[in-house]
Amino acid sequence: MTHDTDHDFQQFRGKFDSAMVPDAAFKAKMEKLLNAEHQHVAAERVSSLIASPSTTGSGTVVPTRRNHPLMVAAAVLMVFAVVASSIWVLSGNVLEGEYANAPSGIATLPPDATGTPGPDVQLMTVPIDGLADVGSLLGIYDGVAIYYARQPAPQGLVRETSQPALTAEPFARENSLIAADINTGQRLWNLDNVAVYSVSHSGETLVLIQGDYGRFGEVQNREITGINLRSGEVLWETAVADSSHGVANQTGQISLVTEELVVIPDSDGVIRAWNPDSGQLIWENSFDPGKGNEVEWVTGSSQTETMRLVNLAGTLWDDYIVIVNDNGALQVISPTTGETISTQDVMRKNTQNQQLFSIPAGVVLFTQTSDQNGQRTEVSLINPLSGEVAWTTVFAGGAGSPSQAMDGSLVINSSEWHQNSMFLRLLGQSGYSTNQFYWIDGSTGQELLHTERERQARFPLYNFAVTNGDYACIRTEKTEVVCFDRTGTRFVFEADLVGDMMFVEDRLYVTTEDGLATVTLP
Amino acid sequence: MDIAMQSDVDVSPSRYQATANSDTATTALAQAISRLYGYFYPRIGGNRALAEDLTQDTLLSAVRSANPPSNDTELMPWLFSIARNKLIDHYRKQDRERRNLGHRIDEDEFKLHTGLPDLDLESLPVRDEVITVLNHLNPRFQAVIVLRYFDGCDVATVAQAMFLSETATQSLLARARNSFRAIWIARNGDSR
Repeated sequence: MTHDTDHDFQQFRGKFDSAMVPDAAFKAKMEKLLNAEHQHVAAERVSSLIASPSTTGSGTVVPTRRNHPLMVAAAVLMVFAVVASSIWVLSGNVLEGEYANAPSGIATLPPDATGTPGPDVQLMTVPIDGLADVGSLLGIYDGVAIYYARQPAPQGLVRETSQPALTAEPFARENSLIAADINTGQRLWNLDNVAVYSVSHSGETLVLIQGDYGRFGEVQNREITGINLRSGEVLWETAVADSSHGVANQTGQISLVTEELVVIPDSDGVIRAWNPDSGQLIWENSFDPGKGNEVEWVTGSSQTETMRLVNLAGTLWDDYIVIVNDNGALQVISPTTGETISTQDVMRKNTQNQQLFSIPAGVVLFTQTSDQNGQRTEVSLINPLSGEVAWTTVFAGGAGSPSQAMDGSLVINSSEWHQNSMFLRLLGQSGYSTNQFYWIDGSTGQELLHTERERQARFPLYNFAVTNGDYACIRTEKTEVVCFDRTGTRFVFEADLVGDMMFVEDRLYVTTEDGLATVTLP
Repeated sequence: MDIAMQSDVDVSPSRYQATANSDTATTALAQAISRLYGYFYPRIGGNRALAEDLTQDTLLSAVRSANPPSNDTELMPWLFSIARNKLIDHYRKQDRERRNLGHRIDEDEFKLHTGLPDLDLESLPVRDEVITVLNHLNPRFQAVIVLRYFDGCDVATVAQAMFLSETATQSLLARARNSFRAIWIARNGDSR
């Protein structure tokens, strides 16, 4: 007998509200903490009363720190002191200096000011064993940092760029995947001679999509490999698809990994799902990759070779698999059976670089287009089952991976390229990039806040701007990172040679010259 | 400098009325520890350490609040409104972590299952079993079950907390109920 009303759940109402006696030690600790906190709060209120006579009578209003002119002046003086004294002490130490015990409750400061984060900000650096050999930070999973160390191409060969290779020689690389414990810095294992396409994890299994580098730097003959995250033991391997017939997926290819599935749509037009623990194929389904973009690449000989690019983006929403392709179709797939539940036409065809991001209300679709006016990004919230577009908003420039804040707002990283003058271009400095962060209401798409545009550090070889919803950070110099929170408060910290950055929950990880720094923002 | 020595500062008792009232409030807050702990414990799967953390967060937020209630009768409802917000933040954080790191896909949520029997919720083992089953659900399901059926929030309030439309919330509630029933039946059999 089935049951789809909630009568049986009504019996829970009010049955789980009884007081419970916690551990005696906790109770004693709380009482002590509350008394200490109360005395601190009371002392602050008395101090503020003395600083400014309040109105008389029982309706005395205690001014808050934010509103009192003397407190604002004190904050400004603190800002100047910070700038003058170069307060931050980093590399292996907890944040020290005059503001290690700064008060909480920071007012929003002008965008060109240096913020005083307060006592909750900590920067801890752990040296990584053999850091000189370590390359790009690919991910941090359950306390294990995964790096990809790429050896430089031998002299005489063209390095990987977005332009087609001008030589018939393949890229010669020796690349290693390296795992290190983020708490001790100890290397756990390394896997040599791999061409990595993507890395994710499912529980204790690192899911690696790897293969061989082809002529143009694409990863061909891909295989999915399940690796024990801590020991590096290869648990299973399985081929994805044979791409030897010349079809390659370079842009927008996705892989989705959950505790029970590894999902990859491939160049043969099939979406497949594997068990991440065993590598066993669970289901497969066809999809329409669309017309795509036919591109001709000129090789060193007169022979041309046509490669077909398939632009895809995907996400997991409410446990459904959602894929959008450059045919303008948004496809919803059941994770258990692989069946297509619905397909909706949601966007113009032949758009570029679409991204999908999941929030509870639906999927957020980013599409980038370019015309004579420059590049712009359209952001839309879509119900993937009905195709209904709840809102659309447009940003200038490109947009990096979005993230969602605790209050449901979305932060969007908007980047723009600025061309330098002819003189600088002759010196080899073609231009520079700037980033600006927008927080928008996830339900309506309306802008809540935007930061001032910050210039990226030159030669941004690493993840130069990262967000986690509540914070957004950009590397502005080789040794400087500027962060904003979703109230617009600006923080700056420095480290020796800032490399890759990555948010994992509320912690910012930064690869520096000395190791892996963990930055806990307030 | 001793405050009382400053002749130009008014140190009349009225200035310290706020402080005296705060002493009473702190005592009341301390007495609320047990009630808050009892609120959190079943709603977060019986995790004692987590219940302590959330209780501590709630009380510290209350003490630091610039606008506490003016009388004792309003104190507990105010305190529990803070507690509910802390609980919702906890579910959101777990859900975000779940979405970032991969999550279990529960086939049972797509089916309709037999309803729960009438339970003796005065019995400690039965209450513990309900808490255990709740803890097996994903954070979003936990959140809607707790808000709707433990706390008695209406659908609009639950929708607001989950950043969903009311229609989507109803759908989520239905799937959460299904999942709860499936786990209950798997653990305890179908007694209907």
